Amino acid sequence: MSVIPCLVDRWSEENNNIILAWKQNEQSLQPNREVRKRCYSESLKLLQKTQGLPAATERLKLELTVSYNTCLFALVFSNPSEMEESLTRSLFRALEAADCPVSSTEPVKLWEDALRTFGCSVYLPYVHKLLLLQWMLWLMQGQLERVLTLLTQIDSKRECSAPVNLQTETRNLPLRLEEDTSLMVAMAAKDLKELLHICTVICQGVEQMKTEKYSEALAVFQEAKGLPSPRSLLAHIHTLTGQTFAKLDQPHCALHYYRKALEVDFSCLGALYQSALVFRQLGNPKAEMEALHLLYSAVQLQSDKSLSSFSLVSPAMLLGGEQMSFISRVPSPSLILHTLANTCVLNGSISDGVECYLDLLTSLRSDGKGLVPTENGTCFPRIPVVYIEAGFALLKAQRYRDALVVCEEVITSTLDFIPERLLLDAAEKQHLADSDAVLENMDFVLWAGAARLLQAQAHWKLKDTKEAITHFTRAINQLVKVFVKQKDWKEKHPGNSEVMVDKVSTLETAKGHALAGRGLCFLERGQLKEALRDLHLGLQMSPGCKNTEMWLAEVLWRLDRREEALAHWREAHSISDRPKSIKLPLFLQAWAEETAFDFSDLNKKMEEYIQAKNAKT
Amino acid sequence: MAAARCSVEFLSEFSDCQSDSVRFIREDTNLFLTSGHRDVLIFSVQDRKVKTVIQFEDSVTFLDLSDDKHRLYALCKNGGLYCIPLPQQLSSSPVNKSPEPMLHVVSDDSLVLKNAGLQAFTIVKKILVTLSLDKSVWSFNLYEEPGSKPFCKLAHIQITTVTTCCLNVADKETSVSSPPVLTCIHPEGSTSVKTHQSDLHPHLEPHLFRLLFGVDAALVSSPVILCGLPDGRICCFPLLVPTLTGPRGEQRSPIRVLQSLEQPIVFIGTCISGEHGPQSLIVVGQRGKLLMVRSKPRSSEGKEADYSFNEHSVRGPVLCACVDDKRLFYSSLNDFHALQLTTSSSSEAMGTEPQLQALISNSLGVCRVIALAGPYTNPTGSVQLLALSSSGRLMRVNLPQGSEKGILSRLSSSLAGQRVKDLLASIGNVWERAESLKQKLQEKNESLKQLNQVLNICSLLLESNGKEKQSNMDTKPLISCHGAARWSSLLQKTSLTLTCVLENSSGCTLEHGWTLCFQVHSFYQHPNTESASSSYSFPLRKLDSGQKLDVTIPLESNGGLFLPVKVCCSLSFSLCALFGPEASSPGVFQLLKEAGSISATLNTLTVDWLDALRLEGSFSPNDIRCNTVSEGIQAFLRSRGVSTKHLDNISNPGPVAVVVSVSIELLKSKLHLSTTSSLESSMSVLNWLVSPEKIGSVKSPVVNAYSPDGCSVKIMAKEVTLGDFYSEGPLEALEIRVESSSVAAVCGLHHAILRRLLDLLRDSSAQYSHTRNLKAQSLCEAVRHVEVIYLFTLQLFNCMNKVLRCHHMNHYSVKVSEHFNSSPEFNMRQAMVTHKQC
Repeated sequence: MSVIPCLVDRWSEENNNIILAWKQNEQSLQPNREVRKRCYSESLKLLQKTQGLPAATERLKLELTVSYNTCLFALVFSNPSEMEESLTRSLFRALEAADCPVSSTEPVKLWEDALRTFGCSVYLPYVHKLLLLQWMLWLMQGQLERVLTLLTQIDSKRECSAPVNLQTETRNLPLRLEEDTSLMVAMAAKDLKELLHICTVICQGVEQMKTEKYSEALAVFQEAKGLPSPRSLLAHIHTLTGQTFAKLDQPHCALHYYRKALEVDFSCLGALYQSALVFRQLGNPKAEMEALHLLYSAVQLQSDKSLSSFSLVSPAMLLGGEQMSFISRVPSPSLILHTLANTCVLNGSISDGVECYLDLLTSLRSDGKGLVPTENGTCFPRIPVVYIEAGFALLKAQRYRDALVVCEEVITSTLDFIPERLLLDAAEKQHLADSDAVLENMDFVLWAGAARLLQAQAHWKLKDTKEAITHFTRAINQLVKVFVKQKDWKEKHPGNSEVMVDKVSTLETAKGHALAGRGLCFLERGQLKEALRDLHLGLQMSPGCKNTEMWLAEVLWRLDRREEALAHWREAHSISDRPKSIKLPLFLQAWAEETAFDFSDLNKKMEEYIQAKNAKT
Repeated sequence: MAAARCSVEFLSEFSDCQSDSVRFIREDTNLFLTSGHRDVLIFSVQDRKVKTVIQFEDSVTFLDLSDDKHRLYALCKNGGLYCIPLPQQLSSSPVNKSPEPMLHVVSDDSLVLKNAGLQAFTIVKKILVTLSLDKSVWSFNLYEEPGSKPFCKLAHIQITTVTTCCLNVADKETSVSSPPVLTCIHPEGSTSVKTHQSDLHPHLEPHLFRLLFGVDAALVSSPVILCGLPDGRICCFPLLVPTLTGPRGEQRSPIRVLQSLEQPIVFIGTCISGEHGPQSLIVVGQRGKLLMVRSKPRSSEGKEADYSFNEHSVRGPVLCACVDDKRLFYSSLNDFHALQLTTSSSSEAMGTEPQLQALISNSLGVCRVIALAGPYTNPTGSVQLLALSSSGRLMRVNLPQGSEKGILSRLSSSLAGQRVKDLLASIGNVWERAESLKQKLQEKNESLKQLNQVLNICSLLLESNGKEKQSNMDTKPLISCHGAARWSSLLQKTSLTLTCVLENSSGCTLEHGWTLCFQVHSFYQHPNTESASSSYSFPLRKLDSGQKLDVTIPLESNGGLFLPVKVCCSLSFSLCALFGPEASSPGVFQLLKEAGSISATLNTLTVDWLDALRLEGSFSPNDIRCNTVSEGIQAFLRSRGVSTKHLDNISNPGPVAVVVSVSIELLKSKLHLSTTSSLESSMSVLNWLVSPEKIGSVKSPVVNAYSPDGCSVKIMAKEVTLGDFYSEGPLEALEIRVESSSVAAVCGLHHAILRRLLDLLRDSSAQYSHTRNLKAQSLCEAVRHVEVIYLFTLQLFNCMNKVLRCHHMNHYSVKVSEHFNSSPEFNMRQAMVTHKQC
């Protein structure tokens, strides 16, 4: 047996050489991926060599150390089931060396045996290292239950009656993790344990968030903050804390934590995005735009550099893809850009909005990198909507020709999908009336109509009233294709889904706008009768439009129907500027401003008339 | 239907291909080819040789090139996706002048992705789209290409497999084996693909594209990935459109199922060019279903525009397919077809539905094509396809010119001649095969017939054997063998032979394959020979019913004649005869050889001294040669003038005699003798003993004959009355006396007579109902005793033959004589057969 100690020495040296090579690479400025692969294959070879001999206690320390190292190197090259298999084999051999009969192949049972057998032996630190690996594997697979059972087994002396809780369990683990200087390891067991601890806690918190137990989750994250953790992970913890606060209706606390997260790690984009959401909730468009701007530029910068990490065990590996994507959830650049553009246009910074929209359209049309379907729960508006919004922004920015072109695209592309006539008869065939296909057809009609409407407005702005009238007419023709049978269907049929109601009211509004628009054009051309008819109809379609009322008053005045004009003028003044109940799409929201002309002349006339009338009486 | 003939050029020949994993793509003048092995061959079409061999770690199942054609991606059976930069010499092809192809071995480092469920992939617009199957979920994964390793995953789309309960098991198996088909359809107008690669990337006219794939994809000009899953569904999703909101504000699944063919999909492509691009999407299923998707023109009533799915059927199985502008080329296993896809202008003008019209398919006369690439238009304007056959032949198929006219026009005379030649050759092949099959069938039938007959005969033989045991030879067996011993002389040497007659009186014919076997067991084993028996076999050629077969076998074994001799004859059949050695496989032949014979015993004959006697008068005594050594020596000495008197005296001490007395009454009843005269009965008994087959050949109560060893023998019979033998009174007996100078002859004859008597008694004991206590026991003992003496004599003579020592011989002969003379009476008495009343 004199050969064996010699072999142990030789193999220990081999192991240490591998680890030294790895450490050197780790410390260098540009770590090489190939080195890791080499270390892995060499370590694996060494493990196979040590396992070639029958299991014996004199080589147990070495074998367990090599197994630990190999498993750590294997993380990126091997799959969890293979690693688990290798781990179980090592455990088997350890038990065999200690002459302990193996009662079951079930890992939990195996660990129970192993921990009992090596309870107070010198091999305990080595067994505990393997235990960390098992913990890691189960954490990676999200099997927190099994982790808990594993960790409760460590302290065999403790009575089982006490309620087990993963949080308390992980807090005071009686692990013996002292290092042996003669056998080097790729990652100190203490570091690994700390990382595992924090990741387990985060994992737990995220699970609770997913099941909407926000206050419990908050408690977990508060504890996690106190644990030693890498910088990026701490930022994530702060972001998660902020998110739970946001969910618990404490937006200011949330903002505080998001700021903290960004202080810790500026590249924590999740925090930036979440704060943008909170700003929107708080109605602070300026701050929201700023946050989105920052986020967009950060995302663009980040997409350029590769994200691969070179550390042996990273939180991303431990938490798994699903968890990680939940934690650092950031929408795709295109969606950020759209949100930014939308917010800009809505809040009056038109030129910025137009720039963003144009950027978005180019990126959509060109290579489309970053536009490919993403899976993180957020979704992008339909492409025609983006086009119409862009057209609207262009219109607002007084780039009428560009607006015309963009809208034309929408019209040609939707042309084939517009039905001849869409009859909505909610009473009879509700299941049909509410189907996805019908809803989509309504969308097509709305898009085509809206695009025509925008085109007409552009022509009008270009002072081409004739062309404008043509386009308004076309828009009206499009929009009337959806025909609702019941007049007051909104009230009568609660069965109609909210989506349907919204869509129909949007359509009605658009119809009203188109009619009123045409009326104005007629007015400009001096065709007062037609103007009167259209404005009337428009008002019927979308009642409560102050400007239309004013224009109607004007037309009636010109037609010398002064009493009626006065009535409408009064009506117009009684309409407050309160926001509408339904949320209109962006491209219909700004009708008021579009048609808001200087009504001072009319007002003067009206006031004079009233005075004259009063004088008469 | 007139068939179009295309010309086929053989470019090269590779090893056998596995049809489900053959892939080849053409890029400029190079062909990337894998035939289901580990190698990917880069074949130069111009030079007609393999330039580079790229060897992967496992057999390659799928191939594709990156957008810029600088990298080759290969999917291996182990689930690994490898990416290798293409060897440099491809771009500058004339540099590589060496005739030997270069070998590149692809190592593990080129592995880009590894997923055991990976089934197919494609690269579009610098995005790698992979399709993998994992636990009944098809997942499309999108990766950035070229990316850093590991590839950065961009997106992930899933669709579950449908439960194929309606399909039977065979379908399931095929659907598992056939890989999914991934095709990318570009909207027309995407400028980047409008160059020379346009034939690699199918595209559709904008109208149909929009209708099929939606407004969003059309507006963004996103390519659409179409996937034909093995369960027959055709799914599509736009590549570059972000996840969109649905009509209710929820997340919209990007993937959509267009249609299901309910059979594995082989090909997806576009064809029929219109003003703005191809007007039709075409999908071909493995079992011959053909789906054409065309847009319906917007009708005058202003109804929304629509597209139509038209399903057609071609004869499956379709192994591979490709499309020309107006034709679909597909290969069933036996033939290669061109299918005219365009509807004639008249039907279009009438506005009828295109599916009403039958599609015209033409056979192109190329068979076993398993992979296709193309079509390509070469500089001269003709259309070419590259095809790979299952035997590994790479062919260039030049399609007939002028699609509309050419196919339907008359064939040129040379082409017609060629075609007729081909047809005749194939007819010849078929006839040959049919003939050989017919012959085999005939052989089989014959074998079966023969086997049946053999079994019939066997049962017949076994039956007759059984009968023989039950009823004592009342009926003659249908197939029998009987024989008689004869003396014959050949080359001045007389020898005793047995002539046997096989008589077939059954209805069956003994065919070729039957063998008549004799086994001759000698009574005395000569010390020099290993076995006392020898066997003879006579293969029968054919013995029809009613025919006889005579065979003669020698009775003398190599040591001389030792009587009595037992001859067993049997018929055996070897099963090998059923099959010719070349007809059956060696294994079967071996088996038949080892345990393949049937045999049935026919008869057992015994030839004894009595049979071998030569009666005086039936031959000339000169014929008798000096058979024994002593006589030969005497003759030799005599001829030399030496007196042999002394020797004579020794060898002829006077005749030796033996007497057997048998009860007359017994003999009469057994031999059915009716005569009362003592002389006649003596003669009859002698006749029975000496020549049982010739009644009346013995004319006196004394028979003079020569024994086989040439000594004269006298057998006499006379009636005597034995007074002292029987207690109840005197017994009438027949005394048979054998006298000869040769002790051996006397002994042999004595033994033979006693044996015959024993046989006679044995036969009758069962037959006669009135029981008489026969002294059979003592007779048996007597026979045994005589046998011992006889054996002793034989030994003695054997010694005489070996060592010619007079005194020795004398000593023996005296001893024998003494033996005889000491108590002959006692012996005879013992041998006496009597009746005894119970």
